[in-house]
Amino acid sequence: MSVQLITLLACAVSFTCLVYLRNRDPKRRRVFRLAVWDKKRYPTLAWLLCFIPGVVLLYIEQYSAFIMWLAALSLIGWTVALPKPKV
Amino acid sequence: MIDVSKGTARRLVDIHGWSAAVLGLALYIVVFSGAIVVFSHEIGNWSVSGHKQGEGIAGNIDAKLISLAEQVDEDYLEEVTLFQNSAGELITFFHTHVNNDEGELEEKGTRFVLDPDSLEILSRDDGFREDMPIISSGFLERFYIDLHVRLHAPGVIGLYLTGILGLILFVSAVSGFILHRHLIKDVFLSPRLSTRLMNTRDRHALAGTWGLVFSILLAFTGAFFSFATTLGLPVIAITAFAGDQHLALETIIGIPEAEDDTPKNFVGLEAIITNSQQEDVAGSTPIFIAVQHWGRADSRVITTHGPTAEGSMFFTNHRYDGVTGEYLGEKPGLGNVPSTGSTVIGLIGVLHFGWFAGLLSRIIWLSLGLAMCYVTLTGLQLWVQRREKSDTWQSLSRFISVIGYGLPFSMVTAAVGFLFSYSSSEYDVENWTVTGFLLGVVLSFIVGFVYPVAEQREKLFQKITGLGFISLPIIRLLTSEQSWAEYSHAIAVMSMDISLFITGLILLVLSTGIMRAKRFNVKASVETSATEPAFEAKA
Amino acid sequence: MSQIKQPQSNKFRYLRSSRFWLAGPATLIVSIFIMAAMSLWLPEGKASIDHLVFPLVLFPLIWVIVFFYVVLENNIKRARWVMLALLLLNALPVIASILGWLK
Repeated sequence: MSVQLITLLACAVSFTCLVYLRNRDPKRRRVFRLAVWDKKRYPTLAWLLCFIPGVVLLYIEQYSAFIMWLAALSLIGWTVALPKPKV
Repeated sequence: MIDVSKGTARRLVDIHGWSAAVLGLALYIVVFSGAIVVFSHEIGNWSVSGHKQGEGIAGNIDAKLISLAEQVDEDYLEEVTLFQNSAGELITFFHTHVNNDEGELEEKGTRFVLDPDSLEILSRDDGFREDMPIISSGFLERFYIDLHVRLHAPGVIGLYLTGILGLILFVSAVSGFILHRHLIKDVFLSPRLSTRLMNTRDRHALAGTWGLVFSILLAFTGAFFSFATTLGLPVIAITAFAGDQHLALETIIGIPEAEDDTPKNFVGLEAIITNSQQEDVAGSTPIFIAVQHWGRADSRVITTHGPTAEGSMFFTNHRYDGVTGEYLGEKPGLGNVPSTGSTVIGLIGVLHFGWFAGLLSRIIWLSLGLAMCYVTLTGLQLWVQRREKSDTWQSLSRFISVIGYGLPFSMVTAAVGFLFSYSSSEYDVENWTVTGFLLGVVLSFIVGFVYPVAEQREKLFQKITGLGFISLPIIRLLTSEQSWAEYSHAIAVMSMDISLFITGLILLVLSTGIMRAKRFNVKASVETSATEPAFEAKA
Repeated sequence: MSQIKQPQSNKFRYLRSSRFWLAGPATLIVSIFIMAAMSLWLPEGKASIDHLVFPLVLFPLIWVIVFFYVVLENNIKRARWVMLALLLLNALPVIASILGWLK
């Protein structure tokens, strides 16, 4: 698998976790007056899962993919958080 | 994020705000141009329509180089460098190291620019390296790089300036981190729409939070590049080498082996380049070649190879015997044997340039740079929005859009100047690129002063910058006298054309105001209530 | 912002604050000396360059750390003493090296 593909895969995993976290984020919901999320949420688990691609990339010694993933994470997180929630 | 006393917080706010208010726009210029020059090679290639696509460095160059070596002063055979610029031209510099008028050691010699296909001499220049005329085919790229590296200020002053701006960015990031009250809590907080001020504050804080780590990394590595040779090296030389900077630099780069000036024929580069292209050596064509002591028994050839997507993420160097052509193994970037120091410097390059893994890493680094521009500009907007009642700050606020849009616009007009002059007369390239840039700057200031209303001004800026971007591929097509069909092999040129066109379209769409659907509630809503006495609200 | 809130202070009040001088010129001088002194005590490493390369690399970081120490230290008197101690501790070996006493 090419470095590019591995990086994109890692980014996709983290992206999914960040979207999960964003949609259940209590402050975001409160500020935009969305209904309180009363179902169970697993923030710690989601955060861990978000960073696991990085650990895996380091473990399989894909250092350039790791650096790209880390840099992309800062952009992904921002683009996930920026749009205002749909009411 | 960190609890500090009231007085300390106040000091931090002052530092965070004032340093940006004074130097934020200069910082923006460095960061924006830095984001653009991640693609400097593509820009260089595009600016000349990729017109010189001979075999270049990988072709049959030995006979030509040997004949050139016979035409230059014998002293200049001390070191010979060879590389191919983004336009495709081969540049070889036969030189020695002598003291200039100011007593500083400088490279002096003869430089040839060669056509990559016919190897015909396009230009020959003699003298000190600093005094040589520009190479017109690479000038647009050079112009953008110099904007990022030294803001076009002369000599070390420019590097000090960008170094200081790097430190300012570092300080802003750290002080912002300390000051942000709810860094973790607000990490997914979409900018609130209660008031314009709150909205700007949230946009600034959100982008700053996510970009924190990499703005620190880029600021730190950038400050290193600015200060290492201008401040660090002289200080280290005074401390540990009795002031001998040359010896200090030589020690760091790697002390050369014992000299042997017996004349011996130079082996030639073709076989060495072929060898270095093998998978078990470097696996790529060298981007830079240095021959030391051409025509002597102790001659050495060092080939430098760029990072590749699937191979090394570092630049690598390989050493060859200049008489026998024998492979002598990899040479670390610094020192003669591998060391932690050399690896760390390599890593700094990886993190700062973003060239380490092909196109994807460069796209990410461009986006990181643009994201940092966003943080800088929203921070400045926040500063003036908090001073709504101060006429001075309100009139100064137009500089944000004048520079914010004016810089991309002026870079576009510089490119227009380059394209027109390069196609008509290569000798005027420097003049016209600079004139193009300055015209863009003047025009931006005129727009800034003619339109006092922020929204009108920004729309106009978006329009002219968008049109500028769209005009670039068209002007390039017109001036290069070549059609699309002939560029099927020059992917870089085509993709640059398309990217410029799309960027222009996006700006034009933005200028119509469709995206400006924000409405701010005049009535303060839940989120601005007393539950959040953030420091920001004080000013 | 402060001139709005505090009418009694003027724009140049910083010039009279010793913290300003500590965080500005003093920080620069101290961090340059720390960098210079580092080249004397850091291990040379395998290629005998680590003690030269690391001070160059770390200089921006050293400056930022010293700067934030001065800004964040509430006790300005202590900040002054710490800076003086740092300066002496690092300047002495550097001066000794320049004068050739270390050979």
